[in-house]
Amino acid sequence: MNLAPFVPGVDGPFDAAAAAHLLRHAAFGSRPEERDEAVRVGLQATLERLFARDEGKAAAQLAALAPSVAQGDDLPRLQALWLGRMVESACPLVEKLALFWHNHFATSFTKIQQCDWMWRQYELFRALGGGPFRELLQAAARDPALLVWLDGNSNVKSHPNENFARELFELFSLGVGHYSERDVQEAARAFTGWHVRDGRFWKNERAHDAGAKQLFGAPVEDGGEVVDAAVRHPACAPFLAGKLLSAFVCDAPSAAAIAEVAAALREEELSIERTLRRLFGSRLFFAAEQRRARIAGPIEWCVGLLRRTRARCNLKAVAQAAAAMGQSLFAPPNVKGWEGGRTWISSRTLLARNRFAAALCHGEGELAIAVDWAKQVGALAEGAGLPLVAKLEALLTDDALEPATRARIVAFADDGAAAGSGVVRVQRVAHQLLGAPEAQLA
Amino acid sequence: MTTSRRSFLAAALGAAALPLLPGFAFARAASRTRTARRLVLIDLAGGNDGLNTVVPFADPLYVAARPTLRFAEDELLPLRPGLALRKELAPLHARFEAGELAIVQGVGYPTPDRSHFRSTDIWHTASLAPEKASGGWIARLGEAAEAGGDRDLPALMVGGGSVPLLLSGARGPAPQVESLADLVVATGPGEGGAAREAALAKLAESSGGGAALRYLRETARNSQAQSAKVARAAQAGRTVGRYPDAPLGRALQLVAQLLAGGLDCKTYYARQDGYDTHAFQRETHAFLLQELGAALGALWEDVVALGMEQEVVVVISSEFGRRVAENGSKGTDHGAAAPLFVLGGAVAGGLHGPAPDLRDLDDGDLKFAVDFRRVYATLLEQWWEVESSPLLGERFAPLPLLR
Repeated sequence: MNLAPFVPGVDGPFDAAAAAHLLRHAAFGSRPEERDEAVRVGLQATLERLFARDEGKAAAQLAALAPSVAQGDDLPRLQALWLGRMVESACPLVEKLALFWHNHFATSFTKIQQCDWMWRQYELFRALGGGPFRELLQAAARDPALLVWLDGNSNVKSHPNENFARELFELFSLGVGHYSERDVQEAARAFTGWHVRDGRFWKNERAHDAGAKQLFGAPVEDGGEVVDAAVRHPACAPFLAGKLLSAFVCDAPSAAAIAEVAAALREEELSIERTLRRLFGSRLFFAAEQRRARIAGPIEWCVGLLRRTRARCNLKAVAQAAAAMGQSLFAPPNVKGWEGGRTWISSRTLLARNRFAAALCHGEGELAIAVDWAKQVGALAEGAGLPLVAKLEALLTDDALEPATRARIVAFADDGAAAGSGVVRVQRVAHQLLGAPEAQLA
Repeated sequence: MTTSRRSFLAAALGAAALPLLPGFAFARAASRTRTARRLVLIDLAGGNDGLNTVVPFADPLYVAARPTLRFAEDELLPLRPGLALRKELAPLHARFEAGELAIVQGVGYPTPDRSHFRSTDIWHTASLAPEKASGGWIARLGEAAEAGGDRDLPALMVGGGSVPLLLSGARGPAPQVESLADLVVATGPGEGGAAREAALAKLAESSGGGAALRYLRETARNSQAQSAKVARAAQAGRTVGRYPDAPLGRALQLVAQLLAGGLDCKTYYARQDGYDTHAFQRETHAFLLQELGAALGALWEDVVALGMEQEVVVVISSEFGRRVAENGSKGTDHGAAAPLFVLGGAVAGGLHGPAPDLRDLDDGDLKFAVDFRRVYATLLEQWWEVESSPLLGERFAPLPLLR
């Protein structure tokens, strides 16, 4: 299996299931008519559309609120703003990639305490997240929120602070095992004086150690050279490849897949968008073993369901619900970010997912979610269980259910005493569907 | 060792060899008996500054290394001449005076890793190569117990955040509870909620699908039964301690409530975040220690009220200590060896292990004197009374931490 282009008809069909797979990973999932449209225009045209950057009127209107929202320190409002943009955006991959980088350079509002710094960092990820990694890493290394988060702001010549330098290697570019303690100490010296003044990056020459430093066995002077050396390091491409695969394909990428994507990253000069475009159009991506091989993160799960059901809701409460599932936007647990994959799932987070599912389906509680369930299923509301379940399964999960699970839900739908009738029945069947383990997969 | 001490794992671990670690085999015991023994593990996440927790205030090298962060004798609580505990930990100091707190000095491991995440994994798997370990050591202990037919809940995480590797193994993560509201299964409005809840539960009984789906199902199935059990105990339990209204305080209050409610959980795990004090450490560290001390004091009050002093042991550790010399930001960078605390009525209180030698540093860090796995071996052999080497992969000599 490799990154050679997936040729529909030769390597397999680009059918509704394949389109749904692509749209779950390169977007926040799809409605049935969106997959049908993708099949109609074909894989290449769908990829073109996925990488477009016109977010549409509704998302742009939300983004226009940012300057006023970011004035204060109201984190829930800021979370709601980004969530709303994810739900409304016509180019969801931009938001998904920003979420990926937010998790990569995991900076938390809990320490920054300024919405506008968090929002500026997020805008940085939107602007540079698809480009060459070198440009992104250089910009991130000068980002005020990240500098304060990792104490770069107090890194001075007399006593270097190693926090920023260590995480630059360990978490942002190479991973553990590819640098020495000495490299960390030397890099910390190179970043001395990389401070923040008036909310902007400022190179404080008086605090900077201009002496000679050795990094990876070669001389460097300033932090910018450290960033370049990290990007040039042979461990950088495989490190990024593993993270991209975990976020956009499967929870446990194979060594072979990592090597393939690393090679593509190098060929594309670490351009993220060009690499992702190859990945999303590859045989590797569409292989049977990559389907349903990733557990959806809380944010993508919530956003996906809100998009699928065209729900109106209290986005602040959605942000809070996602936090209960383990993902508080703009507030990752630590600098490593959310570990994701299997760690999304515990007894507590499963119950939190069920609470969100209940709110989505029944419109209860603070989330104030309004879904027009009657409209979603039309005449099927009153009919037999199977067509109703099939309709809702396509809408909510892209037909993810294993046969035995589907049979159980159909039996539930056909049991008048348990399921009730009319819209209530639709809501209860939808709730059962979202409670299925299958519905937690991307 | 009494028969009753020969508790939950004894028979369990006589089970057929499990493919967890090479040479996995356990001592057999005559019969399986229940025990009330409990273990509470608390992680000080981020790397606690051991030197400013158990403070060698009289050492001139300490004084010189900490121009802005040092503490003087009159700001501290005495342990022995030249060594003292932070005032914020007064509730722990009281247990030390009562002979119920062991302070193990210089705990660490060979070739220390200064990455938070890797060092945490090393501690949690009890392996210097955590990527090769089969889950956390507490998870392995639980798997072995379950394989032997023990039905008790092996472990529970209290508090938020993701369940750590410590508690994750072949059977998925240990259950987790942050608040009682977490345990409610939402079923929507209208009568018949119990039937809908049952129908939801059955959805995890299907088969087929890939590894991710199978993992989700197994976790869901385990969670359903465990969450119900935890909820019942929490409803039955009452606490008397005054807990700080902060994450660790709430977590330890829940532990006390579950102890009081008679939950059959062997190991409770809680995490206090925030110890990564690279800058302006003084205030942050004091704040954290204050919460830690108050939360532990309240927990111990409840343990005493329950008459469980002999049944509960609390172990407090961190993934590493911090650099001896402070940095230019009035903080400290990642270090190595640090003290570890063991609290309980069955604990042999006092100072254990040699005091750290500030003249003999490894690249600016304290050298370890006691491998942390010796503490685990002590708990396994003397608290749980099982053979430790199969679970730890090799033999570590226990320490005289328990009476």
